[in-house]
Amino acid sequence: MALTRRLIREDVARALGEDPDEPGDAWEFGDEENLLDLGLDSVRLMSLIARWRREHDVEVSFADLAERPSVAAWAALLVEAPS
Amino acid sequence: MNDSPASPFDPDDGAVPGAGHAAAYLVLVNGEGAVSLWPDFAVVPSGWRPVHGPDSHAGCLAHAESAGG
Amino acid sequence: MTAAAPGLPLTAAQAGMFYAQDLDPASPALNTAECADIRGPLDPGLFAQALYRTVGEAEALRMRVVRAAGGPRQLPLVIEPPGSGFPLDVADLRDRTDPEAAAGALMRADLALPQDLAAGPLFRHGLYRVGPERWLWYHRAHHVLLDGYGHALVARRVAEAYTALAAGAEPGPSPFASFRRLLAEDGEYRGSAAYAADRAYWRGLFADRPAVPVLAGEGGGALPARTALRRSARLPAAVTERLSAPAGAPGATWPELVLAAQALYTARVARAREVVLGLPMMNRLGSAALRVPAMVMNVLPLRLAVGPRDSLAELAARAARGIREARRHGRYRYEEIRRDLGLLGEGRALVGPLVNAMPFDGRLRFAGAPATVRTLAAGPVEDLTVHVYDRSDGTGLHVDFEANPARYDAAALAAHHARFLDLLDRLTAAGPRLPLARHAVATAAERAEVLGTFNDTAARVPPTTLIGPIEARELHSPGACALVAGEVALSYGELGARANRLARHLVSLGVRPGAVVGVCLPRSPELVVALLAVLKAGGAYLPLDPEHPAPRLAGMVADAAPVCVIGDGEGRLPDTGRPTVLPATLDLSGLPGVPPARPLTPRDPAYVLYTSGSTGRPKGVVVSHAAIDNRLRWMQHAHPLTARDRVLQKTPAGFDVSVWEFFWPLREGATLVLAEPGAHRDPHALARTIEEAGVTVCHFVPSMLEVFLAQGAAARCAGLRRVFSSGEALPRETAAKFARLLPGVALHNLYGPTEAAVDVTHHTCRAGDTGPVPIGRPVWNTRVYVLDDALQPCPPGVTGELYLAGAQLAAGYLGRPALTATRFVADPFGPPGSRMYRTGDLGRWTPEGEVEFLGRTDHQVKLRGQRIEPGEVEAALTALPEVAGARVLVREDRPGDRRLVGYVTPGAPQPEPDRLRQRLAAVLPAPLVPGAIVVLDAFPLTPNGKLDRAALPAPRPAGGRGGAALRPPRTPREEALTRLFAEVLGLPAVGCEEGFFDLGGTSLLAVSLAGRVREELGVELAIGTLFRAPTPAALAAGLAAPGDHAPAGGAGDAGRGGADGDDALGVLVPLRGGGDLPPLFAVHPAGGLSWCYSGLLGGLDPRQPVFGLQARGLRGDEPLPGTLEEMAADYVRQIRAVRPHGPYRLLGWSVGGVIAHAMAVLLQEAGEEVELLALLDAYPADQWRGRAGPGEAEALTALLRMAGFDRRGEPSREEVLATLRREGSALAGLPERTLAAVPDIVVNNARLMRAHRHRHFAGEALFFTAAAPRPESWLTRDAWRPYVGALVNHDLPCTHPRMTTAPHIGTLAALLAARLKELDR
Repeated sequence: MALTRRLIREDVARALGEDPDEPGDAWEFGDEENLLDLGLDSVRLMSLIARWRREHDVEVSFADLAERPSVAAWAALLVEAPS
Repeated sequence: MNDSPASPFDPDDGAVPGAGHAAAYLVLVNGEGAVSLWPDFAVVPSGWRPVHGPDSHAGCLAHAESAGG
Repeated sequence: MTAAAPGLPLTAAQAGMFYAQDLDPASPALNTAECADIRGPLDPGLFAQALYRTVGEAEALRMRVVRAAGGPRQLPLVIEPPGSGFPLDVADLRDRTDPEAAAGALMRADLALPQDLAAGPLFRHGLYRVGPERWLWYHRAHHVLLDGYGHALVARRVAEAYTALAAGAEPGPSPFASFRRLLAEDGEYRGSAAYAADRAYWRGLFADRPAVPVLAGEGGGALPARTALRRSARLPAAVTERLSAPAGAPGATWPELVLAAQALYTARVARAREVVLGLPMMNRLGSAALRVPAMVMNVLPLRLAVGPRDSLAELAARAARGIREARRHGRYRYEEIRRDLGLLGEGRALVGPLVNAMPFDGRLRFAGAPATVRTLAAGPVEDLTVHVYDRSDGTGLHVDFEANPARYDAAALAAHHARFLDLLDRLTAAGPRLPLARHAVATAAERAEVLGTFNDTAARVPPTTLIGPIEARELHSPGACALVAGEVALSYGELGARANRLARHLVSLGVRPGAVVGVCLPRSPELVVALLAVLKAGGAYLPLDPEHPAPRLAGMVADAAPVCVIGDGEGRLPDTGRPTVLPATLDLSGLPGVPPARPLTPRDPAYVLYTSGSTGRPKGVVVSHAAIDNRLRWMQHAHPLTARDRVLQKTPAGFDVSVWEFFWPLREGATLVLAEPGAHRDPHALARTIEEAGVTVCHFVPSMLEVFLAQGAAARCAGLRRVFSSGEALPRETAAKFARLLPGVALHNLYGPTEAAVDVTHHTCRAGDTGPVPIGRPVWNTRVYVLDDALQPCPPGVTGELYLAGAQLAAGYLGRPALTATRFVADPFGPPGSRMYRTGDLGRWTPEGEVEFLGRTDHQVKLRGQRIEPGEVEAALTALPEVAGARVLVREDRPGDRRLVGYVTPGAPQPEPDRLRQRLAAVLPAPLVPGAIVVLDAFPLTPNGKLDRAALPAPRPAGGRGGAALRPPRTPREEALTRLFAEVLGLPAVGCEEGFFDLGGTSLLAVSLAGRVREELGVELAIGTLFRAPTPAALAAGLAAPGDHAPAGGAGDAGRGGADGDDALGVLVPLRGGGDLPPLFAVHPAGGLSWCYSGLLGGLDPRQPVFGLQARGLRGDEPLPGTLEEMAADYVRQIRAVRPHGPYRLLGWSVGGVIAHAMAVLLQEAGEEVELLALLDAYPADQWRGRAGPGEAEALTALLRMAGFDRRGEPSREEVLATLRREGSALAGLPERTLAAVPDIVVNNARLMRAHRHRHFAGEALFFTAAAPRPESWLTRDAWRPYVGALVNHDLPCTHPRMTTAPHIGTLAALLAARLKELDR
């Protein structure tokens, strides 16, 4: 199954959102928001990379994702058709 | 050192902000009527049963004072 | 290699590494290195090409770093290609016995080389073939070039390039971004608002500059170590699994869990509620740095609170929040935070252990050949770094511990590592919501060891009471000697009968098991009878120390409500409202002398002892028969007494050590020897008693033991078999000294609080042992636990609080149920329903199962064995209206001299320290009265609001003392004593009327004073004398005759100036009268007084008597001599009255030397031998003749010089006196008429000297030259040559007037002593 922007957003949220102190809905962050500010770190990033390789057969380098860490940038990089 | 930590049997002086739970205590008695203060995070030792608490340190002391007699 | 373009600045990260190297340029610790293990075919030539190409693409690698005016700069290097000097070593090691080891040796050798940053290149490669298809690629780079992520970028590119080249293709374009861009980004940040904000953030977060908990104690040098110790391990698959997908803590990543685990481990081992960990961060997310091989990484400090009630999930979440927050400000350098907080200058750490989580994929392929990468060195380790990484080779997570070898030895590191791995396993296997307190840091094996093996002390003990075995002895050996007190001796039968009769009387008054009886008697047979009687009646005795203030005793009696109090009618007891029993007045002869019937069981109380209470009220500890019986049975088993033993009773009955002193010998048929009351303070008296009474067993508190050993009293006590020490930490030096002085005597160190029947652990000292003396192993039926703040057992080597359990626990505190419930608590490790006592002492287990004592958790102190709760003293102070607030603590301002000091803030009226101490002495026992009280406006506080102990001023008794007390000395003896007082008390000066104990003197210091007095004045000072006459003036008056015998020849005319206490202005003054060597006669200088020579005494043999010759006229009532010959003849008559025949020893300073020479000539002419003529910068008359003599002004100047003041100008008489008084010189204490006479004497002496004609002294003159530059440049000692047989010289680096002051007089004394020693032979 192909990776979509929506799936990217869901996976990111899951990777970020299990913090019980986090107020509000973990899904509510903007596509342009810097995911580092929301708590994305190298380990979570690498787990996303591994997941996408495994489930969507997507290969992407750590540097590619880490350089501009936002849902929008990643979608541009990884998604073949707009979603 | 962030001053010597309070013993588990002394009231928490609240010196460390950002720590989790407030301190709470129990009063235990054994078969011979001995009375012991006990911190609520530790398992109650065998042969002892709680008769008061969880409560503040002062509340437990007050109970121990009247229970001991 | 040639330098190319001009330099570039460094990034902040690089600068950090540069300055780190600068701290220790010879350290190789900043070399980082990795090793790739390549399995498959490899072409070294192509490999070299791939390397060269990659280096060419990574500009940062081609730099060297130099110092420059504005800071270090990096200068590009040209790196030569392979074949022309590229830094690559290729070696085929297949022919070695162990190729892999050989490769490892080469790598280690290279890693150990420190790099010169100004030269270059700062990297090196090695390619070692260790098998037909196995290659080890070694890559070393200085940390200023690369960090771990940078290494990975380089390695990946090399593999990529090699793979392409091996396929005959061109490697694609460089994947690296521009290093310059990185530099620019770094520069932009440093100038930005974000930089300032980040800096402020860190300063705020660490404003309180917390002390940082670490696993090891303090230690490690000022510089980070040059090497590191490393332990590696792979986590079991199950643990890796749980860390990667933690049930119950789903959002947590494995680095956060490992961090939480390390925070927990550190908090428990270091006993802290908050830890500060360091997180190495790659610091490249969202930055151009993602694609640049360079040094970018930073360490983020993370403060993390760890509480026992937290769960793992909560702690990990707290850690995650903390990391997120820290990362927002993570571009600010760690080194700069440290510098901003001022920690660098103080050599203090910012963080404790580092937790380095490395999630990178270490897999590479070189044209298909797989390779795994291993980090060999990652930079210096200040304390401990935990590396957690996934090699992505299917082996799961690895956890390595890397440590500074100056702080951790290999065994300690291995223990921490193994424990941490075990903890990870247990933490992740347990429910994530469980309070962390449920986890111990000890492994299961360690737990079994400390709870089981070390506490295997069960022993069968018959159910007896304290008194039972004593009564058995009374029955079976009534004739044996039970008790000796001076001349009085009592047999078991006699003692028992007396006690039985009194016991029956007590029973008739209502004493029975459970009842308390007070006993207020001084140490005496009557005391022993009374204690036994109470026990025989079935009651518990309560000792009331007759030396304690009455109100205190009344308080204890009111608290304990005894049935009655036994006393001796001396009025020590206040009116307590309790019936008083005065055995001395009772006729009990009608009562049977056999024990009364009593329903006594071992569970009934045997005694009640009061100990210091922190809230102001002392608390009564109730100890049962069973508890003390266990203790005494153990003691008999471990250190058996026989009927021939004699045990010394010297400890006051209010201390529980006295319990075994009193009762142990009586239970075993031995003899109890009572010391005199008060003797426990006097080591000489004790030694006498021990020797005379044949004592074989006794006890000492360590501080008293030190005094006992120091004073030479110990030598008399070789009849001892055993000495027990308890009450304080026993220093190793004391134990070692004991072994040297009393080699046949066993020394046992015991430990235990009153709450656990005297002692609970024991250790026998062995000669040759080193390190702190342990308190040892638990006694019978006793358990010792070392517990952390979660009440979990600490493994050996880890510090925790000591808890005691078992048969010896007291029942509790009398009448204080709440207090009892907080100190005697449930025992989680013993039989169901058992209790343990919380000591408040810190300790740890040694691997051998002994306990080491490590101090207190609270503020309770031990002072000379006495337990003191500062709170009790503070409460007594604040009860006074003059005192608003009080803090009391122990200070050790002079090494070895600990005393109790009180600080108060004023109430109304204004507090006066001496008066406060008097008021305290009326309600507190003497040991609890502070030696000094300091009045402060306010207590200094730390930023946390706690008392800042370090900021409290040392007590300065000089302030506020009465003027009269400061009276200067009037005699040499007073002068010497004030000097000795000051020396012993560590004060700059002491007045003649100031009391020794008022100034902070303690009994121990009193003994030191006695030693100094003996050494310097040759006089015995009994401690009792000092107590009665505690001021220098009183002592000087009282000390004269004993021991101060005149030298052979009788007193003669010396009586005129002899007993110096009366006449310090006489012609012949004994500066030190005692000693059997030929006396030294020292002739006065120009002013006529010889006191200046008293400074010689300390450096001369104590058996060397010293007499001073002083000028006539000092009392103002005699004519002055008309010629120097006349003066010399007069003095010769004086000395011959004391010593009719030679050999004679003469000394003189200044004009005194001239006079001494004249005396020497006269003595020789009389046929006597002069074996020493010492001239202290004295020049013959010839040198002065023709030069104007001094007028009064010069005489006054001379007077000042005599007092050691080198003044110029024209002082008036008044000015001179004012100067002398102001400077506290002894001379200012002279009577007016003497001070008036001195200038006349000076003038006369100068005149006489100029007129004198020398004759020849056929002997050697020992000359001491004041060799510093002087105005009288013509003076030369060679002018003596016609008048002496020989001249031997010593130069002293001082001016003439300073010759008789410290330190020069000490040097002089040493030189003189050496010469005298030759003469003595």
